[in-house]
Amino acid sequence: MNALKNLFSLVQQYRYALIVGALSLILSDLFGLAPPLLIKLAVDHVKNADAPPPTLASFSLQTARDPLLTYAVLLVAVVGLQMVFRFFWRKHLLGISRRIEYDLRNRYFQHLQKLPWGFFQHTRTGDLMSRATNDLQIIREFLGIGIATMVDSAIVIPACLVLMLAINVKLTILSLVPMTTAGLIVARFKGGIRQRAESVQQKLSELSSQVHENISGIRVIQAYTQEAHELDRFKKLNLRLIEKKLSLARMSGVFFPLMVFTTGVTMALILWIGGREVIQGRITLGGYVALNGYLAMLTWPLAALGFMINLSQRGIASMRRIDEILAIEPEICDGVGEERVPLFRPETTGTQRAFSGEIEIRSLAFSYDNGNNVLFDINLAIPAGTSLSLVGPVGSGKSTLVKLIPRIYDCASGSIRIDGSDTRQMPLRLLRELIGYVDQEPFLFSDTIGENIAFGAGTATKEEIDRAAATAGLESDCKIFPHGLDTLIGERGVTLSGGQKQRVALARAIIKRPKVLILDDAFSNLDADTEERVFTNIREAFKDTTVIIISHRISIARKTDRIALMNDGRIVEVGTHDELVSQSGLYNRIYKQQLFLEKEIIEE
Amino acid sequence: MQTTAHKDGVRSRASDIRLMRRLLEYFRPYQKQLALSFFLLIVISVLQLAGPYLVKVAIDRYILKNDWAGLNWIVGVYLVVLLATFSLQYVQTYGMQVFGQGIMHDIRLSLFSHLQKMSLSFFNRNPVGGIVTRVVSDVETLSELSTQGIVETAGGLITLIGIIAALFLLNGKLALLTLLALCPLLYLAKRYGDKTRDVYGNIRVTTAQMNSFIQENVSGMSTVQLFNREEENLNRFKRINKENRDGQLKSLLYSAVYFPVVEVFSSLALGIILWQGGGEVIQGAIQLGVLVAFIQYVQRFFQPIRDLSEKYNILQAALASSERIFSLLDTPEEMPDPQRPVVLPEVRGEIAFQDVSFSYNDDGHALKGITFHLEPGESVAIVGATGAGKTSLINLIGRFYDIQQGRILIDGIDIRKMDKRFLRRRIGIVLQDAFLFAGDIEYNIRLGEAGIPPERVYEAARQVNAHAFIEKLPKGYREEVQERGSTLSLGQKQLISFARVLAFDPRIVILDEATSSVDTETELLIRDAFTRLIKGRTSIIIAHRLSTIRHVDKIMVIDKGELAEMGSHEQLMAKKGIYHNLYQLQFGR
Repeated sequence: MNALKNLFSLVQQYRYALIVGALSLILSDLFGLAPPLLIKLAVDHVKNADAPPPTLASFSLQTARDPLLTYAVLLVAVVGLQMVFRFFWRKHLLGISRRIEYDLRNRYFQHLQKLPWGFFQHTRTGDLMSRATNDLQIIREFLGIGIATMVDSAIVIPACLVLMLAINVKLTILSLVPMTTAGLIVARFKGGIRQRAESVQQKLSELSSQVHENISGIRVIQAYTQEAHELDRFKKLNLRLIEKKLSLARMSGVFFPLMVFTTGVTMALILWIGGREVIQGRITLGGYVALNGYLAMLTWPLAALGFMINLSQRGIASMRRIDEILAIEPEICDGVGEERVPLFRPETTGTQRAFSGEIEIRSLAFSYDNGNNVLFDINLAIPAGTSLSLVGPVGSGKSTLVKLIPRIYDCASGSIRIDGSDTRQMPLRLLRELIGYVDQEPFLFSDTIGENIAFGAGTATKEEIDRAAATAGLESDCKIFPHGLDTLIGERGVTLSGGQKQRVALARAIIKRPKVLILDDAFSNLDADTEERVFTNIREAFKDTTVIIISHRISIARKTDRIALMNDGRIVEVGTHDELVSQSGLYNRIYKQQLFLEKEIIEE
Repeated sequence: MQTTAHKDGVRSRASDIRLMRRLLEYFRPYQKQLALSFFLLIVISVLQLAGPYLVKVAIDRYILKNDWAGLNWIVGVYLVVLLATFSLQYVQTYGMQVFGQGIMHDIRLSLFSHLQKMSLSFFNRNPVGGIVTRVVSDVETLSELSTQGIVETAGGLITLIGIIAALFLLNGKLALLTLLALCPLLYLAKRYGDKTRDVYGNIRVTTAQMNSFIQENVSGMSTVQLFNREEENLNRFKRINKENRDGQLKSLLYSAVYFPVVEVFSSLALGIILWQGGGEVIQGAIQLGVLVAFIQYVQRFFQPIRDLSEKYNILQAALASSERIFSLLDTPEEMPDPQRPVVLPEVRGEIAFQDVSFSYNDDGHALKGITFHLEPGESVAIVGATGAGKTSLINLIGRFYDIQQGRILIDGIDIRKMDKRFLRRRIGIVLQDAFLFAGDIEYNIRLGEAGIPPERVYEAARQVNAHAFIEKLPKGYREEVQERGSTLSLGQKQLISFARVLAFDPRIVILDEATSSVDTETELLIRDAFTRLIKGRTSIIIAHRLSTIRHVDKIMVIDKGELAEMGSHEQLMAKKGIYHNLYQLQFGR
């Protein structure tokens, strides 16, 4: 029961609250034992005083009423004290569950942050969301009531039993028979409940995922009038969820009635046997009433126990789903090798100034999880401050290759070195600080454009942001935006075009003045002219930065210092534009094709 | 993150009642089940109350009179009562689940189908995360109310009334004394309700914030990682999380005070009964059994009160949820279909814009006075600077937005007079970023259209040059596409959305040309596919490619929301106007 163990390790942190809470609970329970006793005394007193019916004359506060008043006042006082302690245990014990939920949610979020790109590629957002919300809520419910009930039952049940034994042994033992039977029945249900609860949570995840996808793709759905079909899919998923919920309800629905029934049977048993005992004078009527009172006190912890089993099984099911994520080892993490590169180089103060941005790729190979080899024996050296274009057909591995540099993926064999240090030996933080990477389909946050640009540079000034935006060719766009750089993006603000998104992402990458700038088809939505202009801007502003650019346009490739041509996962040609054209290889062919495509039009 | 979705704090009592009324409408189809459930609950309550009474009878009539046979009899009755309670309780509990799930199903479905009808401007305004919360979590909360809250609340009230009745039947004076202890409790319950209402409102707001934060971060996780922003974002997350936790702890504190205080009042009532009632027994005014039964009733008296207060939280949460659900349902469909839509036997594909003006909101026009006409089968390329209004224009044809002025006609009929589904069915749209659904490739071409046979899917793929690469995938057409669909390149995704158009075979094609650059090989494939796509169909293309411009019949230049120039390439070049400049800038070298 790993999930449970993990939960308890979380509880340990709050030992202090747990102890204070448990002590208060014990005290509160102890005071709680007194009222039935007081009632017994009062009833017995009434019964005994019954014999000579007091006349109005002989009736005085001293004789008849005083003991009763004492009992009544004592009762209120004891309950008052009990409640003071109940306040403390509720505050502490239930508080633990809230705090653990908080811890667990932070941990979950923090763990997600460590997981590699590949994980998010094959996990649906709706599913991850559902775990963070629905599952954590169930865990909280379980912990809150769970801890309290466990402590409570552990105290109240034995204490009640002892007191009942003191009143009458035979009746007490009798009363245990139905309860144990019920307990055994409940225990048998445990596994089933957990299983069913787990499938309910899973269906809920699926439902979230579908809604999420539907809304994300609503344009396509409406354009192709697929609304009815989507509704149908949703309906089916919904029905399956209901089916699972009802199947859980069929089982868990037994608990509460069963507990009520059991205590009822016990009461009946006590009434039947106990009644004879009273008739035979072996037990006083007050004793019988008190016994009944203790029995009533047992009802709650016992019913709660059934409820608890229900809750705990659901809690464990949900905890497992959280654990499933927490247990995923982050594949890409800081290097642990001997020649580990320190985050700070002693000889300089600035962290990244010591690096020049020289890249060397040595006999590198890479394959995705499915085993398909994507890259073979890549060898490439890029001197610091130079620019390189990667060109080649779709699927030739260009994008995969550049993703290996900031360790979005890790290479299978071979190495990538920056200034001679293996990237896997460098602290991830440092590596990623050195590199600016711009994706083809960049993700922007629903924040202002300025905030998005300053995303990776916490202390960027207004001027720096403006400059980065200008370099990225955003100046004229900013004039159109209602509030310039302070315009909100996305759902609550303007919708940016593909080209605008790409340029904001570029500005975001260059504001941190990276030593290595990777442009992974990052200008695909810009027209050729803008692409060239932006690229020239970058070269001028960052003369020392090593630039790797993937582009399909020869017009850009010829502006870089060197070109590496990839085909089927290998680098097949390397050289300057003129060199490669004269080689009359694949590059030459692509070049001619593009020229032809352009001419075809112009010559018509 | 303060969107409309999170605007949810404290409501007035009046609006609570309004919400309740609306909720009740959803209960209507289940009237019978509800009635049965209520009935069962009353029976169960009565049966449960019978317990102490039977004990009283047992003591007064049999135990005190040494009547063994009578005792046996009464225990037998008691057992029957218990068995009945057990089975009825199970039936009732399960029945409530069926009922609650049914309501949930209905609400979810009406939400989801309402969403399908919303216009794009709605989705531009509302974050995905918020909508998902509405459909999933809010409905879940509501179901809790319907399964646990409503009937049990009613049950609690019935029990309360039953106990009061029983108390008065047993002894009026003692009953009055007991009720006296209840009065301050009413005041306390109200105070408690007011306090928790505020706190819960706050908890819900922070929960919603937290959810959108997680959602956004999950979507953009690689960006967060590449920019070393983990720490900063974690800190931001912790802040919201902490606010949420503190709200929870506060609500806990309130309940930790309130519920014990209820107990103290309960003991006060008990004390009064012991003192006064005990005295009366001694005086012989009442029987001992009455006193014992009284004690037992009073002990049960406060349970429903406690339950009702506890249920109050569920009720508050459910009302907040239903408020958000209803506000979504109440968002009017901005562009309802006409009552009697015009149905054309066949669409030829003639498109006409007559003095069309359009703006997304009140400030500034996206499009102004656009007028043009396309014959069936004609193709036109739209060119213009970013932000000139090209995308707005193509969105209008499928009626994703409504225009403020002028008319858009298809085959001479105003599109507002057509059924939107009918209209869109005649139009094939390819968006700039090809969205793919979770499912296999074949599903992504055919979507939910069962009427499209696999052969047509393959044929469509062949026509747009997608067949070859699809066949090369490990599972071919059965290859699963993932949410962030990285298995396919952008160019490939485009070809798939081309294939989708051909499979649906519309009369009109609208194409927002995606990338300005893919690799040369795919580029050739796309060009080739493009010519087949527009052949024989009225086509409107936002063009980024020279080849596109050369393959269409006409070119339309949009400048600052206005139709600046229109004509063939040669005509426009000869004119040496905006087009000439654009052409030189973008394509000339």
